[in-house]
Amino acid sequence: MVRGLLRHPLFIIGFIIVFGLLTASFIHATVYDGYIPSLEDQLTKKDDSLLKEGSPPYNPEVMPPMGSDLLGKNLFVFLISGAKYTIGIALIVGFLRVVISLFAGIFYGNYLMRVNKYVASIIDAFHFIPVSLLAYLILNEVLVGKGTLTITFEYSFPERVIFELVILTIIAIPTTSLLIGNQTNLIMNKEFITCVRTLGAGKIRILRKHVIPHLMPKLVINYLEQIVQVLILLVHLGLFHLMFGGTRVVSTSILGDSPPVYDSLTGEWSGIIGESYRQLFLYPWMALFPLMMFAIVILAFNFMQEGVKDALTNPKYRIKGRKKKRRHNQPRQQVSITDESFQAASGNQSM
Amino acid sequence: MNHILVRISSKFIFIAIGIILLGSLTQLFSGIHIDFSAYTASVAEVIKGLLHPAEITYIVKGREYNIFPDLVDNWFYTMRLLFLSLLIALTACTTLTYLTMLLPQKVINVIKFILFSLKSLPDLLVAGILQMGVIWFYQQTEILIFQVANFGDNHSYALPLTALAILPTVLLYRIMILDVETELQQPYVELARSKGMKKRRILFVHIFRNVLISTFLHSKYLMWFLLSNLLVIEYIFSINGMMRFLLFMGSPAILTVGSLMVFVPVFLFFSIFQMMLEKYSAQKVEL
Repeated sequence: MVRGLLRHPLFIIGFIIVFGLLTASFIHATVYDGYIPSLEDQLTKKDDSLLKEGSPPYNPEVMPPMGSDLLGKNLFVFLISGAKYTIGIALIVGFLRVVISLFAGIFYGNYLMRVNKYVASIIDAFHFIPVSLLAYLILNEVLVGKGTLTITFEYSFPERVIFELVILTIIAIPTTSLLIGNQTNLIMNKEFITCVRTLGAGKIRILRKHVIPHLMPKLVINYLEQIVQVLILLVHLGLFHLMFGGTRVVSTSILGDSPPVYDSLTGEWSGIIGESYRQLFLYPWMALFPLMMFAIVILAFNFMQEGVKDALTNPKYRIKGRKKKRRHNQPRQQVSITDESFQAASGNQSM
Repeated sequence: MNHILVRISSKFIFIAIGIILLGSLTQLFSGIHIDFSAYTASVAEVIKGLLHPAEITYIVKGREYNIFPDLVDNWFYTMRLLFLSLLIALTACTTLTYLTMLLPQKVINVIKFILFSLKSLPDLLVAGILQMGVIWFYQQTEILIFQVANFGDNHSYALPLTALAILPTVLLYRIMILDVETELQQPYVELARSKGMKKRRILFVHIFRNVLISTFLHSKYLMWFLLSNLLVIEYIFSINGMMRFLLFMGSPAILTVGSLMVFVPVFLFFSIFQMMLEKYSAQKVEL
């Protein structure tokens, strides 16, 4: 499957986009030391060419290619540096979701199928409450730090990050586990499993040698799907001013009448959206470019997913000669048959 | 257990239980720690509150208000948006699929790829582009197609409905084309064609009937998609709807009551559909 995938154009395009963004982001962090061109930076160099254009944010013509944010930072470089966080979070949360759901699903598919109808209906409740709403209500208390001059959080930064990762993961566990459980059950009811069982294979062996290999392609597709879900969830949470790792809510006036300024703690993409979407009409590039980056990454993962699906069903990408090749590479053992070998074989049998 | 009414009502009860369990989920976490006793207490309280829904209150700027009848207005608006956009999406994608299938296969493949790419756009980006498009059009021609912002009690429909219906239409449109394509390979299509029936007639009379069933089976996923879409749309257009209310006032009791109020009509709608389909197609349709 893997080698077939590497010949699939859709998969390759998707993979190159994601991989390219990640590499660019890491190169930016290591080689360029995370340097983001900004107004402040120009001012320290006594260069005031930007100031002639007025105060930030600058539009894409003044600061190519994507304009600047509210503080005059170059948006494109900022987005590249944030790519590793956003894609990283999606990859990690998606992976956790699938792995945990795999264990839960296998358990469910093996032991709890009798109550499947009821459990499935209860879990159906997830379809009537938007996930973003649930996630927002749970995370809001922990992630938001308030204040006018000094902003205080109840929990430390690592605690908040871990809590957010955990919540983003478990919020999808019930639905994903149910899905994997049903798929496991489908495989367990296949005829060959009965054969294997009559041949004397134990539960663990059936799982390891038969169920998981059959589940694997579905898990890969599911993983890519979950990544997309996480990215969309991040967009929504960003819109509601919940940024990854915490939001600093800075009240601009002591009376609290004017709307507070929301500040992200990491350079993660969704953090930019919430603040800039409010000013969509004034500075459209500030909201639309981060959203477009999200769209590109989601598209890339969807391409990969479609590539996997196609590579599994389309015979063009199936590799046939693999077994033969391996046989050619291995030197054949010379076996000479003598009377003794017959005796040895029959002797073994009688034992 | 096989009668359809029994199946539907038992499903109804279990989903309702699920919503009650989910509604208190926020209480399961106090800070970053798990607090089971608070969760069970909250569930008990929510159930008690459900028996006397009129006594549930919310607090704005230190003053307490009853959620009823305030919430009913929000609920009506949200329901109208939800069902109208569903209706728009269904009509649009059915017509579009019908027209698409009459085109040559090469064009269909291009359309499929475009739809697949459009599917990846985040709902927020679609809404943003739409908003900017309306403004741009206004600047060019001085014609305001849609009311862009919402003021006070003035309910606007056109822009939120369009923003809400675009992505579900794209999604359904793509699913429907794929469904029609698999249906086209059925032997009865070949028979009809060999009898000399026109493609248009086969599509309209035979294929669409069968495809509607399989499209309907995707509607659960679609509903979920619409609801989370609705949350975003209500937020960015500052619509006084149910979702936005839940977002800002989401105490366990309010979240549960609100979700149940969304769930009941949607469930009834789909149940009626399901009953009609089962009668019509004489087979079990499970949602």
